[in-house]
Amino acid sequence: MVEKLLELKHISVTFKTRRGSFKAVDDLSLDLKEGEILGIVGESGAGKSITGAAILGLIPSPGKLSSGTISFKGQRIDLNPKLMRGSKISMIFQDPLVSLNPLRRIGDQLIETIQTHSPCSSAEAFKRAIKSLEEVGIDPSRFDAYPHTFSGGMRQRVVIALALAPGPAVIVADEPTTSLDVSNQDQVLKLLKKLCKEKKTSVILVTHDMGVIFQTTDRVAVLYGGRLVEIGVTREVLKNPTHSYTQSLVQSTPKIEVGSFKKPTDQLDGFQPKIDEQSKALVAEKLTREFDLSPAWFFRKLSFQKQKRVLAVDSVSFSINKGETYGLVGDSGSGKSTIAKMVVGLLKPSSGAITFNGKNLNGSDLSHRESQKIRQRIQMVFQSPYASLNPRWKIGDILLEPIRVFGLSSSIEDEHKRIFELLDQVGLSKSDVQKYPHEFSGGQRQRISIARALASKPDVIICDEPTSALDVSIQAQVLNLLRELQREFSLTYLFITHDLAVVSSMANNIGVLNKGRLIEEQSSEMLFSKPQHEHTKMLLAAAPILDI
Amino acid sequence: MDRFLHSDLFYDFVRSPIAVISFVLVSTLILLAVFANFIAPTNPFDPASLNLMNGFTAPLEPNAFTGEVFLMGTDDQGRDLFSAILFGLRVSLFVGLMAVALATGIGVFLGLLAGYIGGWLDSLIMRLADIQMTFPSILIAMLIYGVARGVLPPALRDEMAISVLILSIGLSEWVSIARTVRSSTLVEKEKEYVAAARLIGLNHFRIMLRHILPNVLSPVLVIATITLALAIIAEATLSFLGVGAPPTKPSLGTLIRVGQDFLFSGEWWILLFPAITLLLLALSVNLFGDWLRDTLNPRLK
Amino acid sequence: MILIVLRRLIQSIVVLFLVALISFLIFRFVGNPVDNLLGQEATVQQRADLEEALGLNQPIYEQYISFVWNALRFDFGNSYRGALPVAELISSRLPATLELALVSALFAVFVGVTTGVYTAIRRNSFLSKLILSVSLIGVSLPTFLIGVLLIWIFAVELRWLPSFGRGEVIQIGWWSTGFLTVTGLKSLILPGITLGLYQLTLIMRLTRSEMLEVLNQDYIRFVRALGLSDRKVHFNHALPNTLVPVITIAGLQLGSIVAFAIITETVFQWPGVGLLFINSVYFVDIPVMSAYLLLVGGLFVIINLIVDLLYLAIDPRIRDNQLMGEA
Repeated sequence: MVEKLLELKHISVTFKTRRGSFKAVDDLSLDLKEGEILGIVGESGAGKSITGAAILGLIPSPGKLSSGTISFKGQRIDLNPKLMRGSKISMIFQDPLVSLNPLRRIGDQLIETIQTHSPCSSAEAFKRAIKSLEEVGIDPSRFDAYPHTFSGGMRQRVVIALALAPGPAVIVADEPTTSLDVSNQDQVLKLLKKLCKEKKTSVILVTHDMGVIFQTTDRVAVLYGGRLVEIGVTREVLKNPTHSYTQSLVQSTPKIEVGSFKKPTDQLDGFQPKIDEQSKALVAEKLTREFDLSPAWFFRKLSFQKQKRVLAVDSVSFSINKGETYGLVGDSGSGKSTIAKMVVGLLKPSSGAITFNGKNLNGSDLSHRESQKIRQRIQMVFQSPYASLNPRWKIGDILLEPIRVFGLSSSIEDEHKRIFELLDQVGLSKSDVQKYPHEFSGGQRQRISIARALASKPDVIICDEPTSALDVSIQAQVLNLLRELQREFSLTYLFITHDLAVVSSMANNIGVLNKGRLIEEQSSEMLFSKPQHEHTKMLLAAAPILDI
Repeated sequence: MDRFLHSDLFYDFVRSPIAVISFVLVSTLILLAVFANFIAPTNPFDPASLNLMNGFTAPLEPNAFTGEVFLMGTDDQGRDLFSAILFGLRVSLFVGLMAVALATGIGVFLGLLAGYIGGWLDSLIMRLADIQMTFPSILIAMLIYGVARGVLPPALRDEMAISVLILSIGLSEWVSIARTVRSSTLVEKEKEYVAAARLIGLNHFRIMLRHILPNVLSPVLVIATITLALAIIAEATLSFLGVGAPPTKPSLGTLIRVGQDFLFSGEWWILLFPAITLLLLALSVNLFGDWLRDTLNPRLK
Repeated sequence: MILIVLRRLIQSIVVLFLVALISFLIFRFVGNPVDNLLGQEATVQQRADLEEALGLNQPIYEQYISFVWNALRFDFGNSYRGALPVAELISSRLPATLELALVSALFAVFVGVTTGVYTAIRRNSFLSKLILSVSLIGVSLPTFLIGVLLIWIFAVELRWLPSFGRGEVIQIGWWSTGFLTVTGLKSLILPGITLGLYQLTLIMRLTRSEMLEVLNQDYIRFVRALGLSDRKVHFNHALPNTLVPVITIAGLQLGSIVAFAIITETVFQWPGVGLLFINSVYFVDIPVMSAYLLLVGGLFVIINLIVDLLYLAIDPRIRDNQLMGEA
């Protein structure tokens, strides 16, 4: 039995661009044993996807394997990677929505893949294809369906079926569940693990998610800046990391924790004491929002279709105390973004009310002045660091805009003072005023977003997945910043996220959303120790948490 | 300006031979056209300065009767072809640039409105665009030209020809610009910086103008350049067919029309030089536009 | 699905009526029909009589309706030049244009698609770079210039091919064809290339860019990772996905060949409807102009409809999507 199934020896991948060469992978060596699941973890730019691609000879141009060798069962394969593809080594990609040829039925694609590697009769291929579908949990009656008729999670299962069909010895899975929501993610990972153990297929699992690594892999390799930083048995590496980078990575990964820094609340088992209206910053009452997706009247009549209405938010009520953080959790489609938009005024609720400091925000006849006054007090930090700043504006102008529009300063010097103050508060420097957004990293851009939200000295800030797009270590920094600012300025946060670990470290109280309904609302502690609702329990079980 | 010199665009520009060559070529042609009055040795449209005896002189050969030498020869009326080409270049460029300006103005305006406001306005504008797209722009230009001619009294027809040309070409080309602007607007509209602007209470027009417009302009630049090439070709075609620039104020296309008649009798230069000039003009604009499109393609980032 | 087809059909009919409306407005209001037919010297009585006869005193919508009704029966009135019925003029010249259009379309499609695919698959070969450079020139050369240059080289200098006209033509019933004579076929070559060249360059560049785009997609990467041969990847997976948008856009382009024929016919003095039209614009012969517009417009609308339906038939994603009041 060959000990090392796959061996990468001192490989380097170099990209030649117009500005010079760039080493995406630098002198990397690792090996894969038979039947094991090896994780490759690192943050963005660490070179993990490229390493995976290199194994199959699929490095995107202009990259090339500039040195080192890759061997499979002792034989060099880097010179002629095509021979290995499918039959010995397979690969699955991140986004299931674009991994399948939209014009081909899935059954056809399965048969094609099977017959490419082991020519057999169509009847035989058909039987094997059906078996593949069953193995991944897809009803064989969908053999003739097109990819677009499947959801993301289902499509990823088809992808797995295709990758496993030729019976490879190794599968390289490049962030296979990153695009899926939590429950799907859990199912797909479990499926992958089960099938691979059954068929004794080794897996190289590339991901940035430490929780996934913890729950799925046998060994893990940590990458940073294209280099291998640490490698070993997963539990060992995560429990006792030897390299400083690994240590910081493990530390930054949010775990379920109920912070002791938060103000003590006197609650007993989910019972909310009566607090008078004044100390409630924001109250939502029976908030509802319906979207009308019906086809135009004329065509409805023609084809006897019904009206199609989607209830995105269904009678949701919650309240946030001043100076506290309320976490709103749920999967995609649960309605959390819609709620955020309604609270902040970007969408009008179909029914229900939002009250801010006692004033009803949806009073129909708010003058522009009154609306502006309210807008000053409620601001928002968005999810995407790339789309939330106008790429053509300088940072100084971006921060200046709210100050000017709300009329918050009396002179140009005053304005400049305020802008420098804001930059300082979020940990950036004065000289950044002249720069454009693309000159900053993702984490820095979120800081600028936060500065912009602070510009009007608001009372409430809605944080809509503010760190979901950031690397783990940066995420920790930004969350820290948010906590500091809350302390300093007595801010009230509505914190929206899908990540249970993150919300546990940020929120006093948490509301769980599912399909537009608020199914559970508890203090942080209670939610994680004694979840009530089935769905909450399912979410907690499915979340890949680093639980050492 | 400083930002431009340090930008990615400029960096790529100086490193691409095609970009530099085509840019230089276009600039040269533009300069020639602008300063035609000073460069041209004669004024080919002043009947008084013409000498019929100069007619049909080959390039660089002394005329049999007058002994005058012409850089590119003369046509049947004794007009110096070099001068005629310079002035023709001026007409071609003028019409092309003005038509593109018109098309861009309409296109950006309607595209922004359609993309940002959406709803029935968007449907209306897009339907209009669809219908117009059904017909090739040349046809539309001819149609507008024909109608204008029918409406104008015969006396004014020649004088207004240039304006009608600009109008007809400009109106036939707005669609692709509007489509591009609309789709960029749709994308930008969903971005969070627009939501942030709304959160400050800015009204829609201010958002459209100050936030969205700067971000949709770069694809417009590419399309406008390519449209310029199309406009130049369209103008040349219409003039060649006789429904464009009149012989009294000819463009390169009109000159080529004249040239074709003399192919068979051997005066090849009357056709060749205007043809080469037109080709150089269209080619350099196209090359530059192509380069611009490839460089500004965000896919490569 | 039926919903979508119905929707497109209704849209097409609406556009047709719009085209007819524009055509009618031109016909009725551009220039004065009475002046044109009678000349300046007519008496008031003659004018009044003619107005009555032409139905110019009826309400507008009635005139529009009779215009459309006549059009459906192929009655377009008489040309201002020579008083021949417009319908006759058009029908006698239609075969010339259609044959030319067919030849150019076939030329453009076959050569365009094959070179497009080749330059996409073998991006860096010398031949590809050559083809691309030449194509750029092709886009920069106006059709008429191509025609003129071809005439110069092949007709004037080399004397291989005729420089104008259709050559000998054989009459088969109402249709006159040039396909059955040697001179007829020879005459088709230069105009065919001229007319087709622009379309060819467009189709080639379109095919190439679509194919490159498709080859960059994740599902192609995935299929490669599954071990499929390059040939299978290119022709079984990439090509069908490429052809879908290519067919639609190319289809629309080809429709416009009929309009571009105007230019080619002028250069080669080809006796088709294009030449007829350009002369009518020059001489402000309104009935011919408006009839041409109506016919060609109608043709375009129909081609658009066919292409849309074709697209529908090919791409399964659209078939299953119930369109919901889309813009």
